[in-house]
Amino acid sequence: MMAMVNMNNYEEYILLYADGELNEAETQALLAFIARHPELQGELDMYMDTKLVPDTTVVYEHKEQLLKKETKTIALGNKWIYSATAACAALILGFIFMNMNNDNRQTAIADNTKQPVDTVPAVVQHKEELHSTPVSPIVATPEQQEKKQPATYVATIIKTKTTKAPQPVQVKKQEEVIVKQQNPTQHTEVPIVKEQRLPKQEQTMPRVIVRQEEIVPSVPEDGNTKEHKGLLALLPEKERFEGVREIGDELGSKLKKVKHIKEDLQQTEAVSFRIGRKQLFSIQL
Amino acid sequence: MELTDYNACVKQWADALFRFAIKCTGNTEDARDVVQNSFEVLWQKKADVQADKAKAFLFQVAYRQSIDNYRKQSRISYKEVLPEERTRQTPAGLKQALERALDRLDEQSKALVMLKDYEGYNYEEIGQITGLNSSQVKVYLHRARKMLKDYLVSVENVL
Repeated sequence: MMAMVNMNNYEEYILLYADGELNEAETQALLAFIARHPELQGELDMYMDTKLVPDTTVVYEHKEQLLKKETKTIALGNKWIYSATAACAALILGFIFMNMNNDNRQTAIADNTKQPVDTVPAVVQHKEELHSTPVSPIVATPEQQEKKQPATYVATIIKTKTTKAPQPVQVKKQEEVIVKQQNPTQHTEVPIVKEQRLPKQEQTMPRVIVRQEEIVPSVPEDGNTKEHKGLLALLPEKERFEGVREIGDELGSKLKKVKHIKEDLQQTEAVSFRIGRKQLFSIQL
Repeated sequence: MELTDYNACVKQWADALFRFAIKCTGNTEDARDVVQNSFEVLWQKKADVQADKAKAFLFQVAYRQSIDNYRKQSRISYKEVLPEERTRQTPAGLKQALERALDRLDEQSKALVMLKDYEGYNYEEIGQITGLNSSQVKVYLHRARKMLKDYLVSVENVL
């Protein structure tokens, strides 16, 4: 269809021509109309002069600041979840193993400090420990003893001294120390003690002494049996150490991976975390 | 679009966007901010923007930021500059006269002319960038072109 350019619409055709919106036929029709009306050539030229030409000398400096570096994406797939679970389990087992080692170290220290039973320094040392334990009636402070059973306590000491003559040396030493710690005025109460209480104390006091003798060698054994309740302790010794070795190797490899990721991140600008195709969050470094 | 597409857009369109923003905002500092913000928005939306549409997206963001942030400021400065412009019409050339004529347009008309002449967009593409329909773009653009022509005619008559 031939474009109809006339005196009523030529200006719009000129504007469309200046905007580059005319097709080939419309352009030819307009130029033919202008050729037939040369007085309109100046108007056409003036509209064409309104076309802007970009100043290419104006440029945006520091484009490099707008550029982006490659973003490292850490995909959290199912394998990662399994790996994370395994790593957590390995860490927990590792801590259990470390605690077990610490207990063993404490036991070893206790073993090293253990002295022969019949030596006086060892007896004194354990006797001090017994003084700090509230289990034994000997541990109670004199004030407490006076409040609770003053007469009974004195009677116990006296009875022990008189009836238990063939005691080991360490026991005698302990008794002597204990007696020294008591207030001498307590002995004045001896006649007040009733004979009925004495049999009871005869049973309790030797029991305390026996317990004291048994505690000295049995401390490491009790400590081991109580603390060996971890998961690893349930395994035989050979499998336990193999398992711990494997856990250690796995932890070492994980640490190497973390170190590698850390070095890799230094060359990146941002890190985004995603599980599958779902992005969780992004961190600008 | 990917990282390489984005960086290619920076190298290819940053200058044009900067020139467009200078005309829209009236100064280089604001234009620099507009360019930075436009590319930042493109980077954030890169997953939703196709590479061949990135240029139009950039100009769309720049146009909206320029119009929204600097329209009021530019209108005030336009009213203040207008009397001075009329009192000293000493153009050094047609290009400078045209630049001054462009500065006398409102921001929307100025942007339409630049999108047409600088970037060569058609009416429909300009409509997508500016949020206008094709008919509106045509009408506004023709009106702006007549104003530019009238200004140039008036300058030539003075000379």
